[in-house]
Amino acid sequence: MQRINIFCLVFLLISVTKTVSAQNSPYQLTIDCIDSLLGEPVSNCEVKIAELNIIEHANQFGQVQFENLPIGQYRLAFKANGYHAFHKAIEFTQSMGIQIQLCPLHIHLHEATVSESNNTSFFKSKLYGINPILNKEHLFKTNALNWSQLLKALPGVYLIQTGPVNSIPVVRGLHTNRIVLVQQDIRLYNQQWGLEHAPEIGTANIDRIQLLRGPLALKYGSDAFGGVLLNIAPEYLKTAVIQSNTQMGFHSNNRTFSVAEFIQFRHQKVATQVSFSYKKGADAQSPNYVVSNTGFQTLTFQTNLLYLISKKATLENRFSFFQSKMGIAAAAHIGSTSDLYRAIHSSVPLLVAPATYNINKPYQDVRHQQYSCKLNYQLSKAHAIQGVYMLQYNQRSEFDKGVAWSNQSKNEPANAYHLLTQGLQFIYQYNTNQLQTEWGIDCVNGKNLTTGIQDPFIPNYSQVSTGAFGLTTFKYKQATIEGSYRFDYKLQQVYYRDPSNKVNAPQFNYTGNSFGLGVAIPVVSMANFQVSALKAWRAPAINEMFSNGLHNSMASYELGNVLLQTEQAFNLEAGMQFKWNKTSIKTNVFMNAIDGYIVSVPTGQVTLTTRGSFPTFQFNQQDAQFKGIEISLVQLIGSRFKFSGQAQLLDAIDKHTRLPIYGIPPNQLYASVSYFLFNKNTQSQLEFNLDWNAVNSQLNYIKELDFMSPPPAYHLIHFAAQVNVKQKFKIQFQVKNIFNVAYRDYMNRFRYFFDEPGRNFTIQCSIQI
Amino acid sequence: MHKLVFFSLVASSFIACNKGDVSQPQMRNNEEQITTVQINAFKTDKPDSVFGIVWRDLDGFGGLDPKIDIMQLQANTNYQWHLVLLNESVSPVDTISNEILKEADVHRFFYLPDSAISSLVQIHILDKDNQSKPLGLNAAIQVSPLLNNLTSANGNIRIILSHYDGIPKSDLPAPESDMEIEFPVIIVR
Repeated sequence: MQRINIFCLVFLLISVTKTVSAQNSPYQLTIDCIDSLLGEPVSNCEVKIAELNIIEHANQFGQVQFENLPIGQYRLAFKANGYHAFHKAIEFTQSMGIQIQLCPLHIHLHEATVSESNNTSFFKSKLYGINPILNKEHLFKTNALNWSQLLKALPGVYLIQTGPVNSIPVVRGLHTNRIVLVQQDIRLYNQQWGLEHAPEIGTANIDRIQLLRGPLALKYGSDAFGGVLLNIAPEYLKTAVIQSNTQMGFHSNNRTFSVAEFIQFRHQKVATQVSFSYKKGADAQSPNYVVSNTGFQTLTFQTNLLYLISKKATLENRFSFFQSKMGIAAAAHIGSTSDLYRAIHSSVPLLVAPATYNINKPYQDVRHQQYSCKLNYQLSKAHAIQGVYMLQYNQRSEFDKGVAWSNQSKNEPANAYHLLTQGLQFIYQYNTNQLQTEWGIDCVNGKNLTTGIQDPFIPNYSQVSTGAFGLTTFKYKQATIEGSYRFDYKLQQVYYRDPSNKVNAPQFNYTGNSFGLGVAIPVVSMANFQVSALKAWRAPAINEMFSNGLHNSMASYELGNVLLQTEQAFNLEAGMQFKWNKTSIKTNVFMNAIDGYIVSVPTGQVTLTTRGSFPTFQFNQQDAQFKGIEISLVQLIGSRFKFSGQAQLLDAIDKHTRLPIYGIPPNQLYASVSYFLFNKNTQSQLEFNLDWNAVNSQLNYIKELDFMSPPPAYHLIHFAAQVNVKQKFKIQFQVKNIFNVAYRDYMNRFRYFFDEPGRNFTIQCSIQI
Repeated sequence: MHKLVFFSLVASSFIACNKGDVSQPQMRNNEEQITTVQINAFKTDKPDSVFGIVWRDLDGFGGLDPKIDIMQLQANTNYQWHLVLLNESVSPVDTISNEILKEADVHRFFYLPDSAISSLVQIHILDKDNQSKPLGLNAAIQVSPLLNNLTSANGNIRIILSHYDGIPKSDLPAPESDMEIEFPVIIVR
């Protein structure tokens, strides 16, 4: 353990700033505290000069300043939550600035001979601008009702909603099958094809979330060209202690209360983490009425166990359980086309009842269980191997209101999907100062069984995917270069009955290559330029080929298309990060060309049913082009104020017809002013935030594709106050939508039926022991 | 180490196995489905002259288009009709209208002639539920005389079966319908 891995070296870069000497020795010491992994400022850093017994704290840019410091030799002690303590001796003879790169705690998991790597992936991208991260502080401030809501602070991320609580992430206009969700390095296999299928991910055990868009995304699949959302758990404890974190919250709008507990302890060679969370909410309230049957409850449990077999080997077991029951807004569940038109033309939902915690039909009941076992073996300092087995079982039951004449209809789900997935992965890792590389193979087998009293919307299927990948990152002078390659083979077999009840079992094979290349170059000391290119592909999903049924809330009849070919995507992105004094600007420009983009489009025909005549939609392919720009600005004003702004612009068109792609997030702006107060005696920080969020109306749309024009632009103002005591105790109070604005969001699939929730007072606290 | 193995086994035991064989999908047997709507109509002054008009979609939603009879009515004539709703995709055939009659308190049929014939066709519900509220399996149809210069008139009659689930039955259709079909209508002199 005495040999420190090259990754864990704390770099000290000293740049001396000459100043004109003054009469009273007005020298100052400026220190920039940077996360050695992310390259981002460490704002919670505390620096102590032992000889003078003075302590200073970093500002939001990770900057610490000691004014009027006498000449002398000092020992600086750095302390920051989540980072290794660090000491550095300096000889202070004149004003100077130094940069300290603090090493995150989990980095030591890769140290020397023992690899305790667990919750974090071994291989990390250095293209921070292209792969943004939300840290724990961000996650806490969001006070989200579900996992998807945590992501809204990530640039380029929007949400598709089906009601006030149910949501899935959209990254630069791409969603569902084009986004890969990863929980502690294990890919989530669920019924991801559905817009109303919220990801089965609990929030109690998440330390950070990273959106991976660069070359390293290919580790998790060739279909990751929309982005990989990595959920990273806290690192295991390394000393024999018990640590717990309790979090509680309440939302006034839908009376949601939540409790989450995270406990971890270490006993010799065993490190354990256990988390549990429970959330329950009643019907949401828009400014003018209750949105009935939008209550929900979510229960999650997760346990991770790490065992150090020897100095070179570790074994890790993980088990998680997620269960959610969520009401489908009663007003959105229509039975026929007439119902839809009546609902659209009614100023209030056709079904409004007093708010209640009861969840009535229609609702969805979802369970997800996941088990994984990972064995790490460190062959030598630079070489390591890893084997992972995972098993996931996803059950989704969708209950319709049903009909009075069927007893089955009263008790059984309309459709229930049972998806069992198993996977194996073997990885070889090579790690030196200049070069890191990872090579691996994986094999995943999934089987879906559809039951229920209605004809299946998607049929039974089994599929096998095998892949081989290589990822590399290396330094060349000042530049960091990342590259990746992946080969995949996918076999899908579908089983369905035709109207005469005969079983058909067509089979489909796909193979493809994917690769990516990215470069980060420091242009000048204040600016960093990054560029990334990614070529990837995706096989058509089962729903896109075989869906067959009514979309109740969309009043459309959706048909699959067995003739679909693979989607071929090419992403190109460039980012520039600029930081000067108290100003930080980040800009990302991207272009995402997807040939054979699979989308459900109207056929111009209607399907006549006993529920009325519905416009028929069928999955088809077009050559799509997504392009956009994201700009963010952080400006410190004095030592107490911070201004943040963010703009997201996105445009998506068919390359040939130049017509817009359906359902793309509108442009939006976000601005925030924060005020900080820090009390050195109590080590507490008080923070106030005033946020403004403006979402434009979607101006690029095809009138014939929708029942309603996109809703108008809207502005929302939010306020938050937060107290943070020694990073141990946090309490936050928020008012969302202060002015109780009645509005509808284009990305809410239920926007035809009711307004978004109104004013919401929230309170939450977190206690760490 | 033994504890670890034990832990692994316990964890694995939580994982339920996938029930059933995916290569054998469940039989198509949709109890909820209405495949057939049959109108048994007669002229009020000739109760024995019953004629049928049928809307039938045996393969359910999607697939082949339904077969729909044209409803031919005579101007200046009064009719009565009785609706029969069937699910012919199951064996034995399920007469859903009987179930609706049992659950009459939460159901109601609406008959909506379109604007082309709404001035010519008046439909009144004859039957009631236990609360004396209209049901609509039985209805009286009054067809007015055609205007002098017309030999016939064409239009549609929409039939909606409303399901009042958890809300009081009223003269307005419920937000969610169990059935909505349309018959083409021709009114002759």
